[in-house]
Amino acid sequence: MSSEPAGFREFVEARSAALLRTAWMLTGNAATAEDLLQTALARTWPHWHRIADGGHPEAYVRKVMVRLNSRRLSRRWNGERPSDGVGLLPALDPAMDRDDHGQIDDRLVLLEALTTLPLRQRQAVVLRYFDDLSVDAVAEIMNSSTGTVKSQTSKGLAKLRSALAAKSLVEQEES
Amino acid sequence: MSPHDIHDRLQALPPELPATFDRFELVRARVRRRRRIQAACAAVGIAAASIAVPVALHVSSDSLSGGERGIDPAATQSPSATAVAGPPGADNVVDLSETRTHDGTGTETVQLGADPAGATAVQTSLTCLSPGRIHWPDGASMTCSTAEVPSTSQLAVDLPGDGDELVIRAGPGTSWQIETTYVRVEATDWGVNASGDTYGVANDRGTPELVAVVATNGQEAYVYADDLDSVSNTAATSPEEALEQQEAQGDETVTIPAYESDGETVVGEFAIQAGDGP
Repeated sequence: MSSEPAGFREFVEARSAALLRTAWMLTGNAATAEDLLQTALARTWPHWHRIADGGHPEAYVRKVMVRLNSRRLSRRWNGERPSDGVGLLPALDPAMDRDDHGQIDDRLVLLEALTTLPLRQRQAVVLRYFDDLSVDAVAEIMNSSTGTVKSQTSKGLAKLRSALAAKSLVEQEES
Repeated sequence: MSPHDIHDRLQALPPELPATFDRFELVRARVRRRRRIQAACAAVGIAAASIAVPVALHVSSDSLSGGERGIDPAATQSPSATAVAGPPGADNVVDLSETRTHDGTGTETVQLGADPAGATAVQTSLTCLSPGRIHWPDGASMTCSTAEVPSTSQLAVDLPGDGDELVIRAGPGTSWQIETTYVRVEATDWGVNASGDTYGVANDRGTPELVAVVATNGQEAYVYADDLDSVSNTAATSPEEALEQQEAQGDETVTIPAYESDGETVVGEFAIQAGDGP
């Protein structure tokens, strides 16, 4: 009943791991990331033959994820719940919470700082500095101007640096 | 701290996210559920012309042609096997049995009766009668708050493989009512016009060049998929999604030309909300 568009299965199998990491960076939660990715892929399916012909299917899926995640955060989530297997995905590794000396781990500080960024700043930082996309590509995904992307990225980076610097200062005081 | 340092730290941030299941099959299941929900939406006629959404999937049967399926337990519809032609590429869903009604509280097994020859799915209409979450057998669910009671959702589910019954799961205090009808789902082909462009509705095979819509003047028409994509890369394919996008994208409305199936004769315009997202 559900014939599959040519090449879509291969795309899912080849690129899901990278896309799931992006989804996790956008959401900060493994189950939500999996749900976001599956929803985005399901929305991509009907348009696949035209997207694949255009040559940028991964950018399309990222764009759908960014938009869906924006909607999820802006109001009550009406999408599907995480599917089979999602519950098996790990939470943030507890070992990364604290190092051997009980000090706050850089990654947890960075995660907390990322989580508190305004949505557009977080999107810009993740797409630019996690996915290594160009300003133009990020602007296309975020449906923004390149100037907006640059400013959102700059503000986001500044807050991340500030958080990490504050953590470093605390450690210096304690040592 | 340089951008390069930030990059390296961000790369190290996500935990290990192993793919221990077949994600493609889960996505396929979502696509199928989505299509069935769209089909059900079309069946009960909630595609309001005022928001001019693309035509979803077509559901046809004698028992549906008279209007909405209600939740009156006394209402028994006659079986029918007559399909009415819908937009090219749409699924035709043909009723093959009488509609049965079951009232339940909490998790219960619903008896469907013997499946008629040719049945490929069970059309369900599930109504929450008290607040809570109710699950269909295939994993789909509906959630009702106090303010949303009663609400009804339609979904076609696969024929049960282990007998003529469905298990509806819900919390102990959640009351619900379900109507079930055996149906046959028939795929149809897109049309092809003189220019070689396909026209019809999106389905498992993808999106045709010309997508069926209801124009702002109420006329059934087609718009170019590329025009839709230029407005929004996630153009609405169901009334619910169109409403979501209206809420999410603000007040800006963009109109694009709507054509006959030849892709040349303009018969109206199609309005869609556009914007920068939430």
